[in-house]
Amino acid sequence: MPPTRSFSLTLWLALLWASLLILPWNGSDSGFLGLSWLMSPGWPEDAPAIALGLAYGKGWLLPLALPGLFLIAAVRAPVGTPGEATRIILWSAIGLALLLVLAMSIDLRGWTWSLPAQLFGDLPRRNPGFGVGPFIYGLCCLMIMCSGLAARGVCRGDGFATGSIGFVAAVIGLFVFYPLAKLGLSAFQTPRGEFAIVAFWQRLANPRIWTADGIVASTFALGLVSASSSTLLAFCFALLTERTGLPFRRVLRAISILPIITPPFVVGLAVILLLGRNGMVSAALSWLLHVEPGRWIYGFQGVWFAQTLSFTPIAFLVLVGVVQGINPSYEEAAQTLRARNGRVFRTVTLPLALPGLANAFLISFIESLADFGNPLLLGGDLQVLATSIYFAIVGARQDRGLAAVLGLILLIAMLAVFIAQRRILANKSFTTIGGKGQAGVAIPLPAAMRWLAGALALPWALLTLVIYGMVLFGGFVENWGINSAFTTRHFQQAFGFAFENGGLIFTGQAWPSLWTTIKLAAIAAPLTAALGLLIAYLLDRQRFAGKAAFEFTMLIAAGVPGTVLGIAYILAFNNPPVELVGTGAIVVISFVVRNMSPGMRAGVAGLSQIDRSLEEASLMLRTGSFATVIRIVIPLLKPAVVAALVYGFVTAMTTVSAVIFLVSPGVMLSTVYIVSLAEAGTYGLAIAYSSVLIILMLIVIVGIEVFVGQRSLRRRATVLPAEVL
Amino acid sequence: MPAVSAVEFQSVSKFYGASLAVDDVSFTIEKGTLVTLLGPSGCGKTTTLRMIAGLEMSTWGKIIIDGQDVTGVPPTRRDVSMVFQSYALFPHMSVLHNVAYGLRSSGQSRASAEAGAADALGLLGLEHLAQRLPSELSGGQQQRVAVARAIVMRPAVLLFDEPLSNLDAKLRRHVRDEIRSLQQRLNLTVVYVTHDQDEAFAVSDRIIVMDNKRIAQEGAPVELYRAPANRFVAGFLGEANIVRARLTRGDADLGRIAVGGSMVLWLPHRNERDGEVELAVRPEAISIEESGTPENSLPGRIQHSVFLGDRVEYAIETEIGRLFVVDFRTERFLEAGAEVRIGIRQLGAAILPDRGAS
Repeated sequence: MPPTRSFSLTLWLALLWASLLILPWNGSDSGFLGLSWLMSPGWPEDAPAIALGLAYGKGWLLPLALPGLFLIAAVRAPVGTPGEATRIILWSAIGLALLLVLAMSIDLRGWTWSLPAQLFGDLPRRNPGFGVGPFIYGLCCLMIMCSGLAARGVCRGDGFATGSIGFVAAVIGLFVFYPLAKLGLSAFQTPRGEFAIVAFWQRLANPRIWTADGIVASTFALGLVSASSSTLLAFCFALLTERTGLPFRRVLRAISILPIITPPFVVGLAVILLLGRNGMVSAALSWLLHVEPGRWIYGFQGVWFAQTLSFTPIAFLVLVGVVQGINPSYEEAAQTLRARNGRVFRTVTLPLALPGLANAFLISFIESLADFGNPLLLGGDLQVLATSIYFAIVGARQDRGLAAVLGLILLIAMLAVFIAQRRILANKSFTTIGGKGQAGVAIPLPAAMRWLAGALALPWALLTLVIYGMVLFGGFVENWGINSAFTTRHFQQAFGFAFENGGLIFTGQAWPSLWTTIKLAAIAAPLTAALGLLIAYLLDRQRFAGKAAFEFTMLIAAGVPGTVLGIAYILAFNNPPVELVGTGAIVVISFVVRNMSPGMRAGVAGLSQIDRSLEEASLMLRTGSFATVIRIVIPLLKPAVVAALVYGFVTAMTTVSAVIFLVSPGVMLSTVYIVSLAEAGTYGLAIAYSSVLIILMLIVIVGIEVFVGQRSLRRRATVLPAEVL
Repeated sequence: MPAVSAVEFQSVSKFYGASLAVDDVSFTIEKGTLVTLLGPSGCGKTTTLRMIAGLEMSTWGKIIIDGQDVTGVPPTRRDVSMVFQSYALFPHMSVLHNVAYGLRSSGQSRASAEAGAADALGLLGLEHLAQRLPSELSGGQQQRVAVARAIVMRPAVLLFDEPLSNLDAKLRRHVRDEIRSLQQRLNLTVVYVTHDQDEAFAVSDRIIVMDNKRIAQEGAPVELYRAPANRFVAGFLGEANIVRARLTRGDADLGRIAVGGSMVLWLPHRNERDGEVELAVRPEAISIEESGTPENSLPGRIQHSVFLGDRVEYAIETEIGRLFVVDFRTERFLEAGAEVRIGIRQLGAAILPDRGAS
């Protein structure tokens, strides 16, 4: 069989030339994804690079054609010519380098360094950002370089693998690490854009940050108490469901969905309705005790309360697995050694659960650090990092430098906790997860523990139910604390519609943001799922140099707090070369980057169920990697694909922290809109909108479960025929 | 035209990171033969097979298939098919689509691919199962579908990775005979990996024994059994007593070997120098006499005996050490403590020339 030139290489090269000859080089106002140039092209705004270079005096764009010419020569050379792959790699790398130099040379105000200014003369004061052309050009150079690397034997000569690695690295680089680098730089820049270490030290020395009741101390104190209380309560729940006869298991699934479908600030909203100045409980107490209802819920204690409510289900999910994973035979062994139940629990069960408890604590801690909605609504005077960043940007005195410094502190704190969590998980060898059947009967919970857990957990469960009840039905109350009459006024105001002139007209004020959110989430979901699954595939199925670093980078990228990513995007994508702020595209990108980890997890879990030799068999049958992924991996991975799609959609619908920085009047999202309603005190409308959002998410998840669940189960049973034997 | 061999390895080594998986392996596999890679787990045999497939790339050395250097060529462009240990039948495709899959990927039309697949299924007597899903087949049927899926590609080399390990013992003998007869009927070149010496003996034209990432010995089954190169091969292919003896070279090929005080054997000297040598003696090549002092024998005392139905196993203490003996004369059973004399049949003993190896 003679070796054939890979078809995809030719395709990428053709696309590269299209990016120079056809696609508009400069961005329009609708961002680089705008399609106005297709409908009504107008030059020079929508002109391609070569035209700009030849006819409009932008000669500096012409060298970009050079790599294209040399690549044609390299690709036309006979296959297997010595040095052929090296030349391909070299010229595509030069193309990428030229593009990067170009990107860094021009900003909003003109040339950023003097040499091109002398060569080409000054630029106008307002310069456009990159259009679709440069992105395609860069992508093509990257893909051609990757196929050259594959030809050199990287990744066992698998062009799909090298291309995917390059693509993922580029996406994460451009949309996570480049903005973070900008964030880091901004911390050192004076308001006029000059670089000064002094500016950084001045900001860092800001007394608001470091005093005993300053931002950092409050953030960490809140994290500690919220994580402790969530972990404690969740452990009680886990022990009650797993180690007593209480009929809790049915509720288990319901609880496990709550944190996914609930926008993160909704609990805070419900707490206000319950305990705020006009809250139900506050009103009852003031009537009973004849005291003026106060604002006591606003502040540290209120946020703590709301966070504990929000994070307990998350910690519970972790701990239920931990308690299940404790092999009962250890406890039985202890019992045969004459230990009573209490002693077994103290000396065996608890120590075995300890790494899991630490993990649940750190997960809740991270959640608390990143939590934006609850402190925003309930914080009062409390200043935590996430909200301080927001107020530094949107407040009266815009201080991007301070926002950047606070963002850096939050990022570093997250990374530290994240690494600690990885350490604990790496050493967590006490409990076994799934798979092998465990014989034996776990000890019943010691009586004292049972009472303690019950006394803590059951009232809390009741409270959670009340809170969610408030969320679901609070929208039907006329005016909280003042007039408790039943009404559908809020729903009409939010979701009203009318028939006029024979057509359906959406008159409610929530519709525009709901449609926008659904549209953007629907665009983001497949992209999110694809990216997450692709990363999972690379991590689970491919071997390449630097894979450990790649994995760590992906985990960090997925763990960047939304607030930090939001501020970083504002700093990075507000000016050329990449101008995206104010477009739907940047919202979609933030959805994709923020929510790719569920897809990654689902992908890794799904792939570990699929025998690797299936893909090898497909390769042996002359089917390339890409076709193998399409024809073998994805059909077998269907449950994971569906899960990734659903999570991608639902998390996009409910997130608030990153997008609150990125919305604009033209691109308003549900969650941000609800937060603004709540901030304005229009609780009825806010809670009505929240309940609709939650019900919608519930329908999506349950619907998918019903439609796909059965089939996915049957599919999984046939995945490993060898095991059935 | 000079005969081109099907597979050739030239000093191939494979590293996984810093750990060595295959160490400087060279061999040649002729067309139309079935060659087995035999060895214990971790010896490098599977990695070697996967390097033929292209699923692993060699770190050093050259791999030639059907006259073409394929050292850096990905599996999709090698003229090789493989039957996997787990069969790796695509669970979401029918038997017919599984077998047609490779033909479709090679650019054949649906009709011609399915016709080719049907032929291959017919060859293995599986026509009636074409529309089933793999999960609806028995283990033996799945195995044959996997073989059909591989041979339908008419590969220059067909690879088998421990194909019998998922079958029960009775089926194994049947399937291995079927593989051998199919190979001979279609004149296929087959490379077969196993850790089971019976299986290797039953199917192979030649066996490459691997140990500790290297080739320990290569040859036809009979050669390997009669004249193992070292202790490892002697012990891995059947059982062997390792005995010290003194060699005095006589005429052309044979050497005079003194075993203990009163036994002399004439065996091929295998280019060993005069002096002390190691001898591998098969347990069934040791004869036991209860009475008298026959010529060329050594005294011994039964230490331990086990009756196994078709044979009796003895441990006998002698002046050349403790010997493990298998006796197929089951009509007698010697108790521990019995004094006997033992003899050694020439065909079951060989000098081990390669004493450096394990």
